[in-house]
Amino acid sequence: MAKLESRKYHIYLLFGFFFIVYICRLFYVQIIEKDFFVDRAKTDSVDKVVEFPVRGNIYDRNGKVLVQNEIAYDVMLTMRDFKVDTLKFCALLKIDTSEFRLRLKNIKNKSINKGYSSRIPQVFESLMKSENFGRIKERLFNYKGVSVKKRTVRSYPRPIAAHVLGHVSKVGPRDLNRDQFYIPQDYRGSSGLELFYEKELRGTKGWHHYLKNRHGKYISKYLSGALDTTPRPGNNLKSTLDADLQEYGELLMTGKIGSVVAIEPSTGEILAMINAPTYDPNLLVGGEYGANYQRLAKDKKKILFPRAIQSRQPPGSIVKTMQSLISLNIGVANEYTSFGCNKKLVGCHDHRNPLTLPEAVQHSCNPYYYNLVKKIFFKGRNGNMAQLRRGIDDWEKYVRSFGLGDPLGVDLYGEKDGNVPDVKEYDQIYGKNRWNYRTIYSISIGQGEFSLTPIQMANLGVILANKGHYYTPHLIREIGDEKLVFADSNFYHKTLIDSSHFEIVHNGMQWVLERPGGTAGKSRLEGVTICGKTGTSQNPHGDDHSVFMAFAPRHNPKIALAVFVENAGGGGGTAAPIASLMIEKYLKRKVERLKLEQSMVEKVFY
Amino acid sequence: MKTRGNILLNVDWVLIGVYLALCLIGVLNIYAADFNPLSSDFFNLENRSGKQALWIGASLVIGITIMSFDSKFFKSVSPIIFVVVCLSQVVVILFAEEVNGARAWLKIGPFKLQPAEFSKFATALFLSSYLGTFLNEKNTDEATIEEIGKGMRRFFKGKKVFSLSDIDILKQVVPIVIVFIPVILIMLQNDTGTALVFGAFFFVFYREGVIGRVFIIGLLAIVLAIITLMFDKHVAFTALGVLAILVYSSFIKSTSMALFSIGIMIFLLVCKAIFGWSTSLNTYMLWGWISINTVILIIVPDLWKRIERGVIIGGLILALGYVGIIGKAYGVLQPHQKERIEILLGKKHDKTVSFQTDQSLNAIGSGGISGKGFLQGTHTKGKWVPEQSTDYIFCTVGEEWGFIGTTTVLILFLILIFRLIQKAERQRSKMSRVYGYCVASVLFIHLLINIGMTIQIMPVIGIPLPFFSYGGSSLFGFTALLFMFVKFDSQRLDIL
Ligand SMILES: [Zn+2]
Repeated sequence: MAKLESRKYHIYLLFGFFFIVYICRLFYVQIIEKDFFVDRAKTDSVDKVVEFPVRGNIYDRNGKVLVQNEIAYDVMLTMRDFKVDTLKFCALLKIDTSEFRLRLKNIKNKSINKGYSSRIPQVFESLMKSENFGRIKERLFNYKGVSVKKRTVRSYPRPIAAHVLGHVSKVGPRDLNRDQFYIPQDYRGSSGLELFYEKELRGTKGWHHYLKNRHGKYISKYLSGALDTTPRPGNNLKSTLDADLQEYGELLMTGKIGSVVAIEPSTGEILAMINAPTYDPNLLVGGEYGANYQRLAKDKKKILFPRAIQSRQPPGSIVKTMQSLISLNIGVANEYTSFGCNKKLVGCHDHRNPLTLPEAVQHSCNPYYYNLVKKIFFKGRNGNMAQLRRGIDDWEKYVRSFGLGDPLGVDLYGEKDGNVPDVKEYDQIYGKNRWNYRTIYSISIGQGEFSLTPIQMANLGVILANKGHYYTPHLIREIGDEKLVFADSNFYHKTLIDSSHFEIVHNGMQWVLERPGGTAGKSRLEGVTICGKTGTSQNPHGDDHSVFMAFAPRHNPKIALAVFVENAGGGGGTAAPIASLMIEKYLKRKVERLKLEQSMVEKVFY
Repeated sequence: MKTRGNILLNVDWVLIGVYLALCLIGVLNIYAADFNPLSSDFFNLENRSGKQALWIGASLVIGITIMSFDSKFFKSVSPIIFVVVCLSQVVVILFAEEVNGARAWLKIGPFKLQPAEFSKFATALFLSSYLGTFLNEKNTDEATIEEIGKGMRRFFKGKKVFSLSDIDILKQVVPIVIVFIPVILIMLQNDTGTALVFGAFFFVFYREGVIGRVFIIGLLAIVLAIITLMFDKHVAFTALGVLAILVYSSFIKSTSMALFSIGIMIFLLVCKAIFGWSTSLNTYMLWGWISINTVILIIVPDLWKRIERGVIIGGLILALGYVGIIGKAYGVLQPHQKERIEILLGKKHDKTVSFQTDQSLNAIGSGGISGKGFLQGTHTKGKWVPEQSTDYIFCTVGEEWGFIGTTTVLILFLILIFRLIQKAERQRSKMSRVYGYCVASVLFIHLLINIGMTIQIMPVIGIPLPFFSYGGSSLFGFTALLFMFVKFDSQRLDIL
């Protein structure tokens, strides 16, 4: 009896023991491991929903829209409710059934689509343009489980300046790793100004925190919205481009490969930057982005290549202006210095003989510059190799002060440097001291190892127009409400040429268009004094490239520009008339030489 | 008879107070678990809180009704109640519609009743009235571990362990039959969880000496079964471990060594239960246990000499056979039951089931020390835990009231259960004592399984938390169960 009664203690012990175990377990779960469970509970039940900011617009210098945003539609499927006739649905969205199946598979694959739930709409077709969407809207909403989400995409009211403006594309894994800002649904600038000013344009995302239930439905704001933020739109950019001039330049460059860069000399603002051939920037927007991009990228004419800042070409005779200035500045020549046109030294065309310095610019006499540059290098000590090397070093300093041999620093990524040949390079090519002036004379007429990008050519025009200085060329003048200041020392560059020497060269450049025998006589513009210089960039692979560098008007210049047309022959034939028409368009806002315009537009060089 | 008029004085107000407190906390948590911002009226009968409040009221009526009868009346009608409840379950099995795989609901007009919830009460009442009548103090089986050891030794020596005449049919067989009738009926309703609760009556049998060695061997068998299912790769080790226990039981004069070995194993199991299950650790645990046994075998002087070969071989064969049977029995289980067991043992992580239990643990764990506050539980609001107002009601307590809330509830239950045992021991009538133990044990098992399930130390077995979970049937059943004891207790002085 007593023994049995003592069993009550066993039961007390056993029950009590389990209570202690349970309290220990609760202590472990609720106190020791609390953070782990809070975290896990939050990942499950709190959804962060993004509200995308509106990307900043880009305007031209006169306030005309270059890039804006347009509503596009994401077609969403709620898989639990989605039941359709596959063939009809595919026909409606213009996709084939295998693509349809692939997309559904990807939507349901949780390793790709992390937040997948059959009750939450999933993106099926991304960024459908509103005109396409409007066409199928009615029929689309007849299907169960189909819904639509509005987003914005880039839109270009005028299909111009594609390379300069650039495009946006979906972020990739690298972007996600590099910048915490991005989430997988983001789009980011991936070329042109869109890329360079990405941080200004993109704005700040808004976040909403929702408490969701087991089925993924939102039941309320998390913490009554205390953590929520509203999106801040990106900054609008005001560009330096003149949309009309840009558009006109692209018209003139139809059927041609090359580029035109026009800069306002007094500020360094780029008025036009034409890369030809170009494309409609609207092609790289929305659902058709991938296919169009592939097509453009594969084109043999290298349509996506931003030639204006990346194409390195021999500048040809346009550097004769610079050679003249250097010779004047170091005092090896003056306005009246003359050399005979000795065609044995280097080829030339027939012209009056001998020529003074401005006349040599006017006629672009090659032997003249053979002699002039020889004089620059040797400084009267002919045949002395040491003097030649020193002379080239000196010359190189001058040339580099023109912003050549290095990228100018335009506000685009990928600008190339061009090449200014130097002693080292010649040593490398020919062997140390195994070369002489005769080996390297092509430097004097802008051929051989000498190369410039089109924007550097245009900038040479700026330096001539400004009589010795330039501002870093740029494409954006205002970000949001803030005007960018380019007048400070970081952007102001002075060449080593004294401004007093420029008038002499300007005379020659004016005569290029205005005097008989000038190489661009046909490109005169009534009422405007244009100073220009033709060039022929030698092309070992085919027809020579046509180059023209100019500024206008001669007094108080408003525009400096360079035109580079590949395989178009001499500079006077194609590049000069195009430059002249550009100047007319910019200064008079209206082109009256319609015949010349038409003949230029119709020229095709590929 | 003097005391009859004074019934209110003799009522144990601690039991009733704790009961009311639990019901109140329960309905508050049901309100939170079922909270609907569009219809947030607590007493709205469209809401579960409103219905539960109504049922609490009805329960009080049931309680008062029970209190107003004489306890002798219940003793006499207990067989009738038992038969009626059993028959109603037969009706349910034959005619009820299937809901969630179980045929358990009886429709009476607009009400739905679950007879199984009442069969705990009916069985407890009938069993205690039976034992109160037939339990013979002299013939109780007071077998201890040493006696089992002796029995084992006789068995292995080929001697007779016990004869059939040793078995007192009235005392040892009938009570077990009484318990097994409702168990079978409930199993037929596909309600394994509720059937399991009837295991509670084994505590009663143990206390009353109905089973002694059966209980201890059964306990060992359960432990061995768990180990087998947990470590099927280590069956041989398990058998060896069991053998070690048998060896201690047989040859060590004091039980302390045997208890020590079993104790270590339980300690390891408990550690695992508290800190979560993981298969690799389980293996270390088993190895640790076996090495400890080996060390004991070596360091205890003369132990080897005293072990007989027959015992070792016989024990090994028995244990291996048992392990084999467990394996086979396990193979017969339905897939979802297997899955639940495997998840519990940490062998498998099923997505749907572990989702449910993980969410339950997320809710409780994220509550922290003081909880997120009433109606502020994000997991509760989001209905992340299924069945949160019924089987998983404890999650709401954990999330919104934190560790303070969960321990408060546990302590209230502890007070209730210990008070029941204490009161049961003070009964003069055997029937009241047995009944008290029945109530305490049933409540304990419910608590153990239900809360254990929400904190992932028990398998997912859908049974309610007494007085807490939403549902009229279970509340009525538990109320009747408890108040009947309060009634017996209030009349304990009447019975000599
Ligand atoms: Zn000549």
